Amino acid sequence: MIHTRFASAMAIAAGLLAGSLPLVQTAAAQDVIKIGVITDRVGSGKFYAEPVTRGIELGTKIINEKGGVLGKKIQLIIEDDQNRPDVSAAKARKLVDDGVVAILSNTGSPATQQAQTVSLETKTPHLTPANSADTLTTQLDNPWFFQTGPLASIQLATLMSYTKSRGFKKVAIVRDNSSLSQSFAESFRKGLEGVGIQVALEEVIPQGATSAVANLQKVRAEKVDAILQAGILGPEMLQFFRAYQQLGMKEPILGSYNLSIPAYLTMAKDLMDGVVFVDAYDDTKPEAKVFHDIYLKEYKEEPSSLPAYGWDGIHLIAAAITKAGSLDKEKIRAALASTQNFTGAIGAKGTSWSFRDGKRTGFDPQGAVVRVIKNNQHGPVVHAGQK
Amino acid sequence: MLEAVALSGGYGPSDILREVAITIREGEAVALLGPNGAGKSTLMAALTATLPHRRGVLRFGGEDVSGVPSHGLVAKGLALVPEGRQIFSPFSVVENLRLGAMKLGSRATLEERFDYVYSLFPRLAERKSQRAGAMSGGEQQMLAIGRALMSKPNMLLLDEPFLGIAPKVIDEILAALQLLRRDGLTFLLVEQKLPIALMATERAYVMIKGHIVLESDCPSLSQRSDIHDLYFSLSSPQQA
Amino acid sequence: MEDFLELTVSATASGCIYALMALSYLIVLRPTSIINFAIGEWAATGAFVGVGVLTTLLWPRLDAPYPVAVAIVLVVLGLLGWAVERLTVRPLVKRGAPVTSPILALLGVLVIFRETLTLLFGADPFPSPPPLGYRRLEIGPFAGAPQQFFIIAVTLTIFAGVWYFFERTVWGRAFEAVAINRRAAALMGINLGRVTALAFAAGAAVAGMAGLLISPLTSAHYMMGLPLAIQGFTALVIGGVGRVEGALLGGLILAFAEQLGARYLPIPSGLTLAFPFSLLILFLLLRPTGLIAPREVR
Repeated sequence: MIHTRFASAMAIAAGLLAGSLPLVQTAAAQDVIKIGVITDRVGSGKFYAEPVTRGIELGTKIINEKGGVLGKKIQLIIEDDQNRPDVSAAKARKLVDDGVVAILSNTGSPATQQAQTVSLETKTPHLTPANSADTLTTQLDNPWFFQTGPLASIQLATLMSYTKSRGFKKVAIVRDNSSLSQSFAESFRKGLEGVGIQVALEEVIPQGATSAVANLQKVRAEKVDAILQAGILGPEMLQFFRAYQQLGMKEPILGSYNLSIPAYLTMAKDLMDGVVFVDAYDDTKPEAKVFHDIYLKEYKEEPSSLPAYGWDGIHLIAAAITKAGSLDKEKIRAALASTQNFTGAIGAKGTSWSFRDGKRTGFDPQGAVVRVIKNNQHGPVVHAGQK
Repeated sequence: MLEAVALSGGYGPSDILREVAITIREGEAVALLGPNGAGKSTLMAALTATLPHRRGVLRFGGEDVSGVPSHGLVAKGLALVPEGRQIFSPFSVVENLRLGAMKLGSRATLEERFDYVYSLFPRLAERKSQRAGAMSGGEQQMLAIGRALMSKPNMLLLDEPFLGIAPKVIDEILAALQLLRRDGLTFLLVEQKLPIALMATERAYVMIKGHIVLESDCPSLSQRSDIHDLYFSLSSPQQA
Repeated sequence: MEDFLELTVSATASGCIYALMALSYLIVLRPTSIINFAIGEWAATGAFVGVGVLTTLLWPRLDAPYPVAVAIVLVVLGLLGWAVERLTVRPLVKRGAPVTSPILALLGVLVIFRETLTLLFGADPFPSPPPLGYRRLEIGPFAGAPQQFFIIAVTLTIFAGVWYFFERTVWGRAFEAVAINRRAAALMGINLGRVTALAFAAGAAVAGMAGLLISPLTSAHYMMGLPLAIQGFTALVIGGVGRVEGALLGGLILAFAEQLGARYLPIPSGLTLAFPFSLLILFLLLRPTGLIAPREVR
């Protein structure tokens, strides 16, 4: 008798407990803000995407330590799209199903483009903090999608204004035979001719070359004022620098963000000092200093500029949610779209992110900088903006 | 010394050899006769493990060597002078001979083998450094035999060594074979022409279309004056 | 003139690398008639092993001097070559498969090796330290990087050694014999299986050396294999498949054509890539046996 009653009491208690669990969960769920991140951990976009994601994680940690947003903590849900467009769209959908209020896309532009179809359909705020393709906000009319990455057109114009300011009259372009490098070289050529600089010669280092001596001898013979490096393939880039050193050449070397890859500093160690490249990060900017110190403390290593994009991106989203005052996706979107003068770690001193005139690209046209490589590190800014 | 039991097989899915059984005792000189296409060379390939598909049992020196590969058989003392000589034309006589001795151990044995082969075939000694491909057919045949002898075999297989050779050279080679016999070498000689076979051997097998159809001692065979009649009568339906 | 002398050093060094690749093909091709297109990936493996042994970039450094790295590359690649022969080639040969089967199987090996390298090391190019440092070195009228002179010296040594092996040692003659007449060689007591295994091991070791030697100039990179395999094959066709000297000649001709063409031909830079490939097509059409005639093959 006693056993039966005891058993029933236990059963009732268990039932109540089980029944109350969903309540407990919902209460907990209401205490976090879910934000989705699409990154690449294993594929071709890994070394662009992962550092940006790390910046997002760091930013999230700091925001949460300070009390979170609207009194709630941010919970990041991170998905891997292997930098593949079809997978990116699928992951975006998964994130929406998981209940995120916003998505950050860190992988390549084609993947981000495909993920946009999901943010449009599900009416979810969608931000790419680092992609630089100019067509991301124009190809698809998606009012939910915002881009704060440094546009290729802005980076090119910045490089050109720097090149002109150096007084170069005659330059050579050196590239490899990949299609991406070819389009870089084309944009360089157009830009240079646009500012009245003569392209005397364009040399191609083919993939698989074992020496760039012949190419650079031709450049040397041409007696140019500077060399524009439009290459994107690592080994061929290394050949270029090796031959340059071997031939005892002294012409200044300039590049766009193709030369900003941190991996090149290891690959071409001691060969790149004095080379200038385009970036969007000035480490003397106060906000950049704050980011830098926190990053160094947390990860015990110097950050490149990539995590700063992620850092700024999550702060931008957090600010928009605060401004919206709710987790309603439309309100967040509106808050994002009305962002003015958001100053983050990224961008030249005195510049900020704004979505002006209904445009959904937020990067400041004057926000790119030209930096010089010094002591095998990304060194100081030598030029800002595109005046 | 050599015993083949129910040897069958060929180069592809269809059999060329059908249940061939031969026995050669130590010190014997035996001939293998038969018309073109009888499968004699195929049998040589089977005996030296160069035939891709082979079934049956092969015994050499009392041991079952059915699974032993070509180079192993050479190590056990079985050597083949292949059809068409198959010497290494770009190499010199010395180099060809040297390659025949791959399985030999000590330097002393090597020198001894060279001396032995040169004493059997003085012409080779005269042409030591000559490129093998530049020699006459007869000299190449001597080289092929000499090369096979370099491994100090207990038994020699010779596949049609007299094909296309001048009569004078045939005599020289036959004389060498006699010397080898006296030194105790066992051999199996494949030959189309009956008279030459009879001069060199004491017993013969006749092979037709992959079968051994007759075994006889040579004196009896020598009573038959026309080998073609013999072959014809053996390949007629009642014998098949 | 200064340009030409510098270019001579650069082209000779590149030519030596192509020659080593051609030699790697040749060592396997002669006794087995198998063209092993996977040697490019073996060169890449050699490069990565070099980076691993000489730097701390891949795993904790063994603190080894350069000659040790060379020895390790030779041993590791030799074992890999031997293993590949045992596992992919020998079963096919045993079953009497036509020679195209191992060639196709080795294409599969190519893919496996490349994907493994990608998985292990990722897409970044890794720097490989040159044993003699890096600067502009002048020897007589010639100028180049120390590594280029080093490549030339090592390649000539390897070629001298291989030539000596094939022309003056019994085992080398045995290899040649297998190339001339496989069946007759077997009848001599030459162990065909062992010759094939050794050929693959030696071919792999030579390819690994090529990768180790070129990587200080080009980095160790998961994509480096295929261009090397193609350049080596082109050098082989030009020089001829019959002789060791042919591989060296073919490599040098290819490299000089490439680099002199890039420097002096009055055509746009992007098109100079077509020049060596045009040479390849020309040779295949007009003189497929290459410049140095092979010994007669039965």
